Amino acid sequence: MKESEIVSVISRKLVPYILIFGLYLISYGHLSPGGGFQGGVVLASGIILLALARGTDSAQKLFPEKNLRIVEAKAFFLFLFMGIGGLVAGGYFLQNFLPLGKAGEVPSAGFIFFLNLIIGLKVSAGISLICFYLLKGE
Amino acid sequence: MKLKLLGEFLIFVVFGFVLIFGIDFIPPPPSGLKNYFVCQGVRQTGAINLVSSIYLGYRAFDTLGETIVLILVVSGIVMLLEKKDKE
Amino acid sequence: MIIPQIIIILLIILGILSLQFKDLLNAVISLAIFSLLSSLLFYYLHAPDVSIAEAAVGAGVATVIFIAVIGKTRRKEE
Repeated sequence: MKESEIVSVISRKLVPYILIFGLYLISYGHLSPGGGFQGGVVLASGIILLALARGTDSAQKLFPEKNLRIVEAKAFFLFLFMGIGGLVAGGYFLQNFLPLGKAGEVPSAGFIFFLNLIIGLKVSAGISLICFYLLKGE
Repeated sequence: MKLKLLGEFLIFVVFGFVLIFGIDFIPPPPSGLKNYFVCQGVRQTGAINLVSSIYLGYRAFDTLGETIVLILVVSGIVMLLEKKDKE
Repeated sequence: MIIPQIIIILLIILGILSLQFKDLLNAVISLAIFSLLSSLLFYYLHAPDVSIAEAAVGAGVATVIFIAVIGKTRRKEE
């Protein structure tokens, strides 16, 4: 298939903004609409746009498949360790053991901010890994 | 072909009728839990977004299950599609 | 007040169309428009969280996955 100049240029200029918007949705998830899952899917859709417009090989230079697999596996164990941290602090499983802070600031709500980050990274790595595997054969 | 389309249309009309007129007879949901979340949510979890405070605060164990589902899907797809490339 | 009724009627038309198409690519595109319109409906009903998830998953990722699967299998329905 022949590469189109318009698709290539537009996707290169659009992808950084999509990634920034996904990070905004993740990191402001406890203050405004959004959250881990939604922000992660937006991040993954940015990566998929790069893979569709420029080919999977050039997308895998920026986001190597090995790193995505590592993030996918390690984020799950980080989630479990955050849960066990509640037990260590003397409560129940998945208890909010960090200080809550003042409501309305970005690093507030202790535990929820970090869980949003972990879930966002995990969802984006998983969905972009699925699409890499599906698009690679063509 | 015509009979099948007619059957689909009949099912559509019956379900629409039930949804439009049957929704009045459903009792309203209990409001105790809703009032508890609205009054105590911000103070107990520190998150302004109530959806986030329920999703990751009160029901975080549910989120753990969802995470396990996603990791199962990804490992299944990697298993299915990586085998094909090696052969 | 008339906006959700228009959106719901369009949703019904798009759902029936996506069932009736013999070419599967047309059905996938009509499902993508269905997801976009239903995300608009969710935003109108004051559920912005669900709206973001629907627009990103239904119109973005699911369409890409469906088209990739159509490329690996047949395009026409029997």
